[in-house]
Formats: sequence, C-alpha cells, structure tokens
Amino acid sequence: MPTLFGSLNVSRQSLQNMQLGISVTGHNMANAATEGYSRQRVVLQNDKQYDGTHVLGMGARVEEIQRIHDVLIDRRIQNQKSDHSMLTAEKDVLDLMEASLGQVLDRQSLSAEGTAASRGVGASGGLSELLDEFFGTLSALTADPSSTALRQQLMNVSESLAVRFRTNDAAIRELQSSVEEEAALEAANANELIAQISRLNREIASDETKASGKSNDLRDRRQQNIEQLAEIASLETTNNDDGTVTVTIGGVVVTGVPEPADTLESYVTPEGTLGFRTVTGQQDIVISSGRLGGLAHARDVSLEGLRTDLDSFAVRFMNSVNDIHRSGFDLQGNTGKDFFTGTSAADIAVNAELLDNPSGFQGSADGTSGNNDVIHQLFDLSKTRNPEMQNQNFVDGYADIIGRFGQRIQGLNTAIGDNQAIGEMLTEKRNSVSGVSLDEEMTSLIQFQRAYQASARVINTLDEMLQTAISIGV
Amino acid sequence: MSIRVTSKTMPDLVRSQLNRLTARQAGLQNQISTGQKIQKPSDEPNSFVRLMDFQSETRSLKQFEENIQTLEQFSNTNYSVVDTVRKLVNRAQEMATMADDLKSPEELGIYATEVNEIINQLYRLSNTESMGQYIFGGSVTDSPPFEAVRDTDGRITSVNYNGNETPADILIAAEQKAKGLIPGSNTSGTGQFGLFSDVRAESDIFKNLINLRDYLRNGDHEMVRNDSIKALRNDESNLIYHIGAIGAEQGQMKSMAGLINEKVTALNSLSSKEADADITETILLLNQNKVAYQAALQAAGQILNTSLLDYIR
Repeated sequence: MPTLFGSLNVSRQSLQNMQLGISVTGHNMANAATEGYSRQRVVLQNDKQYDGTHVLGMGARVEEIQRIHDVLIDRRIQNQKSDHSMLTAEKDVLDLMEASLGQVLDRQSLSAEGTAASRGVGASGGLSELLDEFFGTLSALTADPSSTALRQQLMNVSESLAVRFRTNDAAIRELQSSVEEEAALEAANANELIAQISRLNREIASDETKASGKSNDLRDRRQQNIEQLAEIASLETTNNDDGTVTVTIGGVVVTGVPEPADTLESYVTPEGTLGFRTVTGQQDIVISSGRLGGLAHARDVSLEGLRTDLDSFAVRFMNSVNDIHRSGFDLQGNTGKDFFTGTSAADIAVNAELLDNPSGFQGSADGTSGNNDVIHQLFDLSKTRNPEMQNQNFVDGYADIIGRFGQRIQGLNTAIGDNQAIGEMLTEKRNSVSGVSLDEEMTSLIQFQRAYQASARVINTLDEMLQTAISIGV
Repeated sequence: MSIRVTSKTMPDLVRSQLNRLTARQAGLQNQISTGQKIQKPSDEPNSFVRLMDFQSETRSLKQFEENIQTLEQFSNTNYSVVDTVRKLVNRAQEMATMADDLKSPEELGIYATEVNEIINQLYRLSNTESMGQYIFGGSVTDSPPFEAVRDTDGRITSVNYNGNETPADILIAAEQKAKGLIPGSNTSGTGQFGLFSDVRAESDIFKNLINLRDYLRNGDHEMVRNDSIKALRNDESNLIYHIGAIGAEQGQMKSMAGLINEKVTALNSLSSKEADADITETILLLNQNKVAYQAALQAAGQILNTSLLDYIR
C-alpha cells in the first residue's frame, strides 16, 4: 500500500514531467519555421513499485526527449541535393555560354536584314549569320568579280567572321577560367562546412557523454551542414557510437573531432582538367556530383567539347578557303596568297595584305579580271558535303554544333525539373515526419496543461487527506 | 494513416506552386512580347537547327534575288546595245541595197562616209561599260576589248579583239548559273556566240562594214552586191539571234525571281510554324495561368491564416 507521502511524490514527479512537456512543446512551436529543425517529443514511461503484495503504478518518468527524424529520408535528400546542385551548376555555366555565342533567333530582324549587299559592314550576330553573309557576298561577287566595293565588303564580313571565331574561343576560355575560380571558392566553402561539422561532432559527443539522451538541436545543425556540404560535393556519412559522424568525400575522410581530418582544394591537373585533392595529404579526390562535380563537368566536358568542335570547324573552314584561294589570281595577276592566317579558332584572321588591299583577293582562275571561277569554288563550300563533318556542309555543320550544345542545356533543364520534383516530394515527406505541426503542439499544450492541473488537484486532495490524518491525532 | 501535414508543409507547397506558376507566366509573357516560342538553341534544339537552316536558305535566296537584279541590269544594257547595233547594221544594209550601178561615184562616196560613221559608232558601242565593267570582253572586263587600227586619215581599217569567249557565270540559284555578259567575238566555234563576230554565224560586223565602206569608196558596186549584202545578212541574223537570246534570258530571270519569291514565302511560313507563338492561344494560356495564380494566392491566404490558435481561448 503506497503511503500518502509516496503518492505526493508521484504527483510532484508528474508536475515536473508536464512542465517539461510544456517546455518541449514551446521549443517545438518556437522552431516551427526554423530550417532543418526536427520536432522533439517527450517520451514518458509509466513507473511501478512492488510493495511486497502488489505491483503498483508509481506515476511516470521521462524516458528521453526524442528527435523525430528518418535517416533514410535524410540520406535521400542529401543525394538529391548533390544531384540538383551538380545539374544547376553546369546549367548556369552553359546558359552563360549560350548567351555568349550570340546565336539568338530574331524573326523580326530577318525580314528587315535583307541581303549581303544591303547589310551593314561587320553586322553583329552569331557565327551562322556571318557564315551566310560570307557566302552571300561571294554570291554577289560572282555578278561583279572585280567590284572594289564588293571585295571590300567580303574582307569586312570575313574579318567579322574571324573575330566571331576568336570571340567564341575566348569566351569559352574565359568561362573555363571563371569556373576554376568558382570551384576554388566552393572548395573554401566546403572546408568551412567540414570544420563546422567537426566542431559539432565534438560538442555532440561531449553533450551526450555528460547528460543522458541525445543532443537533438546540435544534431539538427550538423545534419543541415552535411546537406549544405552535399550540395557542394557528393559525400558519404557514417554514424559512430559516440554520436559523431564521419564524412567521406570521394572515399577520403574529411571530418574529424574536433578538427577536420583534411581540407579540400581544386587545381588544374597537368592534363588541363579541373581536379580536386586534399591539401595536406595531396590525395586526389573524384567528385562526381554536387556543385564541384557540375562545374568540373561543365568545364572539362561541355565547354571543352564545344571549344574543340568550334576549333575543328574553324580550322577546316580556314584550310578549305585557303586551299581554293591560293590557286586563284588577284586583279594584279598575283597568286599564292592565303585568305585567312592563323592556326586555330584562337588566332584566325583575314590576311592583313587583303584587308589593306581587297584587289589582292584571288577570285580569278586565269588572271582575267572578269573571271569568277575561284569565287564559284569558294561559294560551293556552302553546299559541299564534308566527310569530316558527318557529310554536312559548313552551314549545316555549324548548325549541328549549336544543336548539340542546345540539346545538352535542354537535357539539363529536363533533368533539373525532374530532380526538383523529387526534391519537393522528399522535403514534403521529411516535413511530414520531422516538421512541427502547430495544431498538434497546441493539442499537446492543452494535454500537458490539463495533466498539470490534474496532478495539482491530486496534491490538493493529498494535502487535505494529510490534514485530516493530522487532525485525527489532535 | 493519412500523411501528417505540418506547419511547414503548406507554406513550402504554396511557395513551390507559386514559383512554378510565376515562371510559366514569365515564359508566356515573353512569348507574347516577342511573338516567338523559340529564341535560343536550348528552347527547342531540333527546331532551332531547322530554323537556322530556313534562315540560311532565305538569306541565300535573297542574295540570288539581288544577283538576278544585277543580271537584269546587264541584260537591259545588252539589249539596248544589240538593238542599236542592229539598227546601224540595218542602215548599212539599206545603203548596200541602194548602192547599185545607177548611183554616181559621188553618191557612193556619201554612202561610204555614212558607213564610216556607222563603223565609228559601232566601235564605241563595242567598248561599252556597265557598272565599271567592259561588257563585251568576256572575262576581260577591266580594259577595252576592241582595239581599232586606223589609216593616216583616221579611218578604221581593222578592229582587233583583245577579250575572250568566256564571260563569268553569275549565280542565280545554288545549282544554277546564268551568263550576264556576251562575248564581243567568238572564233573558237564553241561556247556563247560572239556579238560583233562569230565563226559559226559567219558574221564579222567590223570586217564586213569596212569592206562595204571601201567598196563604196572605190565605186565597186559589183562587190557590194556580191559580197556585202550577203555578209551583212549574216551579221543581221547573228544580231537577231542575240536579241532572241536576251529575251529568253530575261524570261528565265523573271521566272527564277518568281520562284525565289515563292520559296522565300514558303520558308517564311515554315519558320513561322516552327518558331512563332500562337498569340491567341498564348494569351488564353496566360489568362488560365493568371486565374490559377490568383486562386493559389487566395487559397493560400485563407489556409495559412487558419490554425487551432484561432479557436481556443
């Protein structure tokens, strides 16, 4: 049989439990909008006592303050964030490149643009428009091969074309260089996060050693940091018994307690690609996703692929034009000059001699001023199929390069859309498990408040009983 | 058990839905303001490549149209010169017919003077320039193709041709070329017929007129009758052939210009189908989207403001 004082103790414990319950509810409500917060719950366990005859209920005690979360969902969100950042990082870079190419469709300007003869000298636009102008001016020259005005226009259009080749090449190289700088900044951000995770590891281990239960709020903050790190580089986590988490990137452990095991840096490899390695151990790390993975792919695959395509195109175009031009004669009967100089898209230019004196253009096959056979041969390049360009002519060959580049961006857009839908679904799922519901918390608040009031009533009753018991003796 | 809807679920959901609707509205607004549904390669790569092809072909066709205009200018000049040459040769034929044995040497002398003047006029015409080019020199367009040899009195005794028989081909379509110029002379027997002399047509205007002038000066009406009349008839036939050829060429150019116009229209229509936004449909879609956006805002405003807190005291 429990004593009156024993019962009073049970109620006192209950008052404390309900107070804790109200405190946790308040904490939940205060963090209803906090990013990365997982709701907490007071887990109560009923208590018992054996008095020699009966097993009696002795109220309740707090088992733990539980952090409600799902490890599986956390992992999936981590991976989804890595993939999403990788895709968006690459897309952002390629969007900039697409704008730099200047290959924009403007149907309103086409009708007003007219023909080569009526177009302004050095008209702006993408390479496609300039190629059309080059061949258009050659077409106009067939009608008047010795015209100084048309020859001058051919030189200007050709120089604009060469400038566009050079500008495209320079734009890609500049963008590749910007990507290197961005990767260095991202690596620095990753190092900051790795340091924070390492510090939190120490605090969590320390908290959990000193007190029973888990350091829920610090675990939330650590999980948030891990997810931010996953956005930068794909990673793996291992939960340790002491409450710490070990983070590995590309198979290399980076976190520690309390200092990081190592830090990351990006660098340009001897092969010219963007690489990553640990600073102290100089160990190469393969980062397949996250922003760093996306930047590396954008720089070394997409941009480098485009640069190689445009460079091969420029060299083929330059050699084809030069081969034909060299065989012709200019208005003074000279022969053998190249039309373009340079060795790649980076340095292609119209022969300075021709720019200064367009009569040096070698359009005649026999030295007579009205012969235009070489001009015809040059014009035929617009339709001659080149086996090195999947049997396409120069105009279609360039369109194909642009088409493939556009497809890459479109593919990324689609993948980002799909990935975002997955992300929203996972976040919704996590909200449903870990998110705070104010309605639920209000209900809990009432529940704890009423339980508190009830326990207080029991104490009142016990007090009255004790007074009665005392008055028996008086 | 139903899914737990927490305090963050609704705002997150509303935020992502509103973002999606706003992005769609921005896209539709852009289509309406530009009139295009495709602007950059990534919008629709396959269509963009086709559109680049259409644009390229349109530009090329417009250049051919301009080349045809240049050809027409050459053709008009050619016709004007050939017609004048024909009139002058006809006048010489008239004089050759009239120079019979009834005419006195003085009268024949007057004819000779007029024929000499015709030769001078024809010589000037043979070195006609158009748009900075000598049009009867074949591909030699930068120097006068005909060169006169004169006697001490300044009379032309022979005319040499310094041009060639191969005028430039002008592009009027990707696979079609036209001759804009007529060679002044053709002694090879192949290619274009020469205008002032041609071996196949047995025509040599300068030689025949110089002979006629000299026969008239010498009062040799026998040679005029036996040689000049037949020779000048051959010259006239060659000129009539050229007038016919120019007419046929002008007809071909007109039909080619018409064809180019039709092709440009067809390409424009194809580009329009591929790239242009259907404004009516786009505006309807934008309105639908606007309604959805307003509904989402209204619903969110009502739901997000409501909680148990509103009902307990």
